[in-house]
Amino acid sequence: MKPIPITLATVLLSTAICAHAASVVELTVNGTLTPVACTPSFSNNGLVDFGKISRQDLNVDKRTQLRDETLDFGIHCNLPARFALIMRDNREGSAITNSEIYYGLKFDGSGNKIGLYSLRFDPVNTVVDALPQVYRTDSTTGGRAWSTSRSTPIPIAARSYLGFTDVPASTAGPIAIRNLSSRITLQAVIAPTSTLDLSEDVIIDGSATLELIYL
Amino acid sequence: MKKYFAALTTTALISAAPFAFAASSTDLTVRGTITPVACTPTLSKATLELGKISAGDLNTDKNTKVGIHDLQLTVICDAATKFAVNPIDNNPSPSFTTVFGLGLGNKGEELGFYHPKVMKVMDGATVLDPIESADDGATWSKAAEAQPGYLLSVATVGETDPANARNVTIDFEVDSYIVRADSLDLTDEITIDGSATFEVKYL
Repeated sequence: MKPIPITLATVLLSTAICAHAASVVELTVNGTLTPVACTPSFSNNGLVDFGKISRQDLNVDKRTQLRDETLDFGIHCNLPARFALIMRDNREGSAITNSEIYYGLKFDGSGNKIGLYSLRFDPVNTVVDALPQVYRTDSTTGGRAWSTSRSTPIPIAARSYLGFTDVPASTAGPIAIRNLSSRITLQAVIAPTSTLDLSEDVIIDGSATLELIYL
Repeated sequence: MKKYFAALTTTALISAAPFAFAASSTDLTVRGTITPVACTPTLSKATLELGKISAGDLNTDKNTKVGIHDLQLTVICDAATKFAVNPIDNNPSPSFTTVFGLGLGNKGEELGFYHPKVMKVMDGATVLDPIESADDGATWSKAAEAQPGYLLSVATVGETDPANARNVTIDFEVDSYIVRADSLDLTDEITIDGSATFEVKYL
């Protein structure tokens, strides 16, 4: 219900603008409403649970890589769409290495960074519509320029766009896709236990949002 | 009044837009716990020796029991905690899913199986009940043996929920069987090769 009073205020403002028609300044708001709708989804509701890990199974003076976890993910569109993926870190600033490909696992009771994880996308484990092969291409410029498409794995990133094409060695960017399914590998790393406060249980609490950007 | 309604309608559409965007994203959660508690499992024997078994001593038309071994698994923790033992068959036979495999013969035939029956469970001087879970700890029921794919834990006698424990011993009797001899190629010697790992899982 709260939006309604705000609306009334907006109407008042626009009335005010009309009253001073001679002093108007124009603002243009651009955009496109697309009939395309794509829905991304992860298997297991996007939950990766490492369970309870004993301190004795973690390295004291160096990082410990946990077992790889795989996640299936799919994108289903009502019409073929050109899109790219990014994944935002909802625990930004808590990864033990600062990079757009590393996501945080939050902090222990004393504010120490617990670790990091990354998600490896592999074109070889990816099926797009009826295409015989899929290549990945990425853009660090928000979709203006695209890297040469390849079939090698790449980590999903928070800012660089990840797109898909059926054309090898192409810089033309992503093609329109209706259905994509892939198996990605999640690799988690825990900080040296000497840097953690283990006087009590440390809760691993990573959260990220995979976003689809329409191109 | 019409203007107000128009304004309301427009606003409603605009505020609906963020929800439309929300449908084009999906969330990932990575969770777990690092516990300061440490438990160490130990087996009383690293190897169960079945010795050399003569083909002539095997039943041709049914399984032959070739070994009965006592085996004790001890799990010592530095604080009382809930834990389970995950019995992993390192050499699984496709046909034997709830028991441990003894490997394959020279023609790829399955040789047999072994299964550790739980005889007694203690935490220090306290008797406990063995319990098992087929769904990674979500639900538990009474257990009679260690089975691959089932977590094995301990409960207060009469209960079926994992109990805190610190100094647990599980006494097993491990029975080993060779399959009916007429299903084996016994022209050459066959190596019997079972291997299992008991892994502590913190609950």
